[in-house]
Amino acid sequence: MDRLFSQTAGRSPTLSLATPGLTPVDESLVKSLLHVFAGRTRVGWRHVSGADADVVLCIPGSPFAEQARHCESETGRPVCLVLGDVDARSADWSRTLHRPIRMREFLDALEAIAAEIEADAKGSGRSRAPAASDARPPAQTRSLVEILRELHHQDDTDARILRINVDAHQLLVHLPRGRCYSVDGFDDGALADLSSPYHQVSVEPASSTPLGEAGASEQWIALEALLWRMGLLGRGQSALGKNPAHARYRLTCWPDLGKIPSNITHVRLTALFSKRAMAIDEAADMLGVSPDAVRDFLRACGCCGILEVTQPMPVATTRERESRRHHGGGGLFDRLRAALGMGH
Amino acid sequence: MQKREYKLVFTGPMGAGKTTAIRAVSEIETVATEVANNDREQCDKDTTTVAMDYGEVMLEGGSRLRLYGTPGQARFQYMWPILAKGAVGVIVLLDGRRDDAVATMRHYVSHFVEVVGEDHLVIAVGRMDEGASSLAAYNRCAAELGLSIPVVSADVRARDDVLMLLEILFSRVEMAQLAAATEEEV
Repeated sequence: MDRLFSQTAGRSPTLSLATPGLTPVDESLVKSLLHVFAGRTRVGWRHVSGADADVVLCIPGSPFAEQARHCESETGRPVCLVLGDVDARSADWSRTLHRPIRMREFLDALEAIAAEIEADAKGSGRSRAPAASDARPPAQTRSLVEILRELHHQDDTDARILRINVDAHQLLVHLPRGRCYSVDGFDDGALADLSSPYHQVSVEPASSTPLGEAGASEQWIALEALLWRMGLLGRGQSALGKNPAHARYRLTCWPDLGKIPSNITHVRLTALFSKRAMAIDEAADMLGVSPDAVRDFLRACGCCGILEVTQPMPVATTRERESRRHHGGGGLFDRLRAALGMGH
Repeated sequence: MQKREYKLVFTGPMGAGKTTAIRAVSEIETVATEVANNDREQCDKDTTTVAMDYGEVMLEGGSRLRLYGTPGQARFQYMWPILAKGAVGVIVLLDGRRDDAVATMRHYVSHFVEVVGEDHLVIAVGRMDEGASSLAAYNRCAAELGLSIPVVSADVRARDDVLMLLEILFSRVEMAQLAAATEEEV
């Protein structure tokens, strides 16, 4: 225990832990143990509701476990840890925690996972980052994002309305209009939660409700706009995770900038990534924006299904990248923007 | 600073919103060559442009951006290359309610890409709420033509939407130049 409870020097990095499907008692226990461990472990740990988790603790056999295991195998994230009965260790699960949860075992498991993640980060030359991918879980465990993306790309124009049940929430999708409605609305908190892959999602036909009957027409949001916002908010949903640090990305087509809530950075990033494949750092340097802003953008594009990953290329030096930077101001287009009152 | 003149072309079929788009951003009273529409079959509106629409935006230093709208009727097609030659860009406006909107896009893009190049083209589809909900068919059309062109929905009655189209065009040209420059270095 001495080793485990030694205070780490300086500020340690933090990993997030989600506990979808655990009983309230187990979840409370996990939260309180994380509180006890605070500042005494290899890395910091925080409990999250599931949308942005590095590690998932769940029950084997639950949809959450299957979903998490699939995501881990595809993208390396989240790391899956299952909670089973004492005699339940299964060859299927490489990381098992036994019920009732014991402090020592839980701590050992977290430390082992932290070491694994650290080694993985060193090996790839970067920390694990949230990312966008087209990882495709089994059909029966499709996430809401995947279902909405599929509906968005469907050419079917039959007058059909679908009801999507996401745990206790209900969404209506008007296919001919490509719009979605939720009685709960789509604020950022709700969307971040909905973007989590740990919900149980089912789809069924709904009665033929005309657009607007279920709510004012402005409450029906375009599917692409919904996917875009979920991509920007839902860091845990889809990860650039297993892609090499210098993977290059390219857009297969432009997002509908008339529908999505975009800004000038999104327009420029779209123009850049649709022109040629590019690494995150390279694009960030060219436009003078943060790599996180580029990641958010790519994740949103991934959610909309317009992102492809290509082979990594040798990394340019900082000096080379500096020489490629876009220097705005003074050019024709900046004068045009100024004359038209277009803000930067 | 030398005073220079640039031009930007709005094109598309009758009733797609070219005159409206130019009015939304022009700093001068637009010059329109509108006459009574005798071609109600193609588009049910009172008037149509027969030569061109014209507007202007003044730039710092006395330079000027000239905005041109092509006539929508097919018989004036001979004017397209005349208006588009040397243009900063061409914005193709389409009416999303029409069944032939994708075929129309193909027709316009095929002509204008020869004159200005793909990096200077933007496609805007209007009235999307009344027609198909997805731009997938338009994107497929661009892919079939072997082109990577921005296709977005827009309501050109809203100035912000027209400015968005211009920003897309400007960014596209800038980023294409930047990407080309870096590609040469690589």
